[in-house]
Amino acid sequence: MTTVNLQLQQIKERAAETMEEMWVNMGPQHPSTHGVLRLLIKLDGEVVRECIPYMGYMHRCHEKIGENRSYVQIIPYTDRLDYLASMYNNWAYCLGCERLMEIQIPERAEYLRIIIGELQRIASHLIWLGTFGLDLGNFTIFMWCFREREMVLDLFEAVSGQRINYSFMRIGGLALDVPEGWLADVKAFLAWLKPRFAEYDRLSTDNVIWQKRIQGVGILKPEDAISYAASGPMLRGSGIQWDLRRDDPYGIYDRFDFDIPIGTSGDVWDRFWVRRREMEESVKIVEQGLRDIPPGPVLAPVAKKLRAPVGDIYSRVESPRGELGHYLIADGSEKPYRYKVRAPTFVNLSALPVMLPGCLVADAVAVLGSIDIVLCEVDR
Amino acid sequence: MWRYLRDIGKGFWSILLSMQITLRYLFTRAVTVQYPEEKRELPTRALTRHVLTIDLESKDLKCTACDMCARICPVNCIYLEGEGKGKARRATWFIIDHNLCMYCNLCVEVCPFDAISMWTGQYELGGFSRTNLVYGLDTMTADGFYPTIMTPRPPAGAAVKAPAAAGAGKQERKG
Ligand code: SF4
Ligand code: SF4
Repeated sequence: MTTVNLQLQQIKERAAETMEEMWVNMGPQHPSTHGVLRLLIKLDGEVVRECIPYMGYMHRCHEKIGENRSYVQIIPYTDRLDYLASMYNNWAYCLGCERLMEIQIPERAEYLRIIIGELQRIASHLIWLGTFGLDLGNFTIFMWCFREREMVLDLFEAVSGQRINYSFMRIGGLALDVPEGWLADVKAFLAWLKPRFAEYDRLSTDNVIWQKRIQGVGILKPEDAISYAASGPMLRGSGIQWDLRRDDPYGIYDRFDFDIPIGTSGDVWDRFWVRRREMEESVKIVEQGLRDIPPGPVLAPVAKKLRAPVGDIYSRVESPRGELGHYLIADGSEKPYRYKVRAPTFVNLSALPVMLPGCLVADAVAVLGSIDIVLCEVDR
Repeated sequence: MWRYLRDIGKGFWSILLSMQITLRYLFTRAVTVQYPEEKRELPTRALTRHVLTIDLESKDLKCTACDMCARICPVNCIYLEGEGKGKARRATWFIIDHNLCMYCNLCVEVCPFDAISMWTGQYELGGFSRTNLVYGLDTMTADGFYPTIMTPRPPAGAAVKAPAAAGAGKQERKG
């Protein structure tokens, strides 16, 4: 801590004497921006003074397309929002439609959704941990996280036939029941995964270099986190215990017992540590789900042509990146009149300008990585 | 100064600790497969490409050109035309543009006659031009691709299994 601060102090002093401030573009084609994001950074030597994120390079008119598709046809499009957690997008959208149309989904489907959703959370956090390691120059952990993520993808491929864009959930439940022996496979995967956390810790968490890189960097104060409407691990890293799974339960999360890890100071380390512990909580939830899952149908009887009654709904879920909300206005026809997505990463990214000032350029990469952005979701 | 040296020492030590695990993995089996030579086994449900299935007895296509799949497709990549009335109606042409398809399986689920399937295991679809991926009636019913696996929506709770695909030369795949 102190050496870093000392260096920073020296750099700042030197910069004030000799150098002028200048604006530099980081991105859109920059390997550490996880897609096409352009950051306009005001530099004072090595120190970031100001940052303006520019987004929209991957705008695909998701919402407008949705207004021209029927309720069922939107499901495959939602996959393409946050492609690292497609199951969650499906779930969030279907949940909104189900609330709008007042469809009760079968018990087994509820359990399967939670099992699949939490596996998706594990996979998403794994890929985050891997790419975050890559941002910090730790290549090994990237490979290892991908190995475990690949196993989750294999499980998902066995149920839905796809590896990234699943389109597996339907309004009223799931498209298909899971194949025979799949639940046992999940159990075997969890048994494999649990000892791996200790290895990740040994490789990254306990590594002094890793700690020095991210402790005390990119601090987001709790009041800033709230005023920027940050959600998910960003908010919890700042020490606010807010998790929609507990505070606004959807599905049957109220039957499950799990902890909500929070950070203390809101720096990059806290966000890392919150996600890393959330994976363990997800393992717990999946285990409870596997224990209690009942047999039965997975799809409620729904009409072939789905029409929603006139009205509107905002439904939100706790996706791996934060509060993912879908707002639908129905005018009684087969298509939504208005369809809006509240993308968690878009909102979280907007808090970047308060986190960056004062950081070194190399730390800016770590701070950006800690937000866990998916540009496809940011730009929609 | 002392602190600085100690930090360096600690850094080295933690790298060594990490290296120890890495070293251990050097002697375990690789999890990757060498793709073109080795291929991994796909699960039964892998969505790969479309085929039109045939009736095992009459060897006729099951499709009655009812247009349901073309209407549900979110990207409108199914084009078809039919001839005849009622049960005797058959598709005269049936085109799926795999350039546009987003593999959502909605067309398979909606088909009332189980006439279309994506569970084929044929995933190497590459072509040298875009038109190579536009599949017509002949490509979609080409020998060896049919009759395919099973109904898209099995009864609730039933085990998923491939039916005996006798007489058509397509071996069963395990899920
Ligand atoms: S494949 Fe099925 S849904 Fe499509 S036209 Fe033929 S019978 Fe109808
Ligand atoms: S899988 Fe989806 S996108 Fe592809 S043809 Fe069928 S309905 Fe259309």
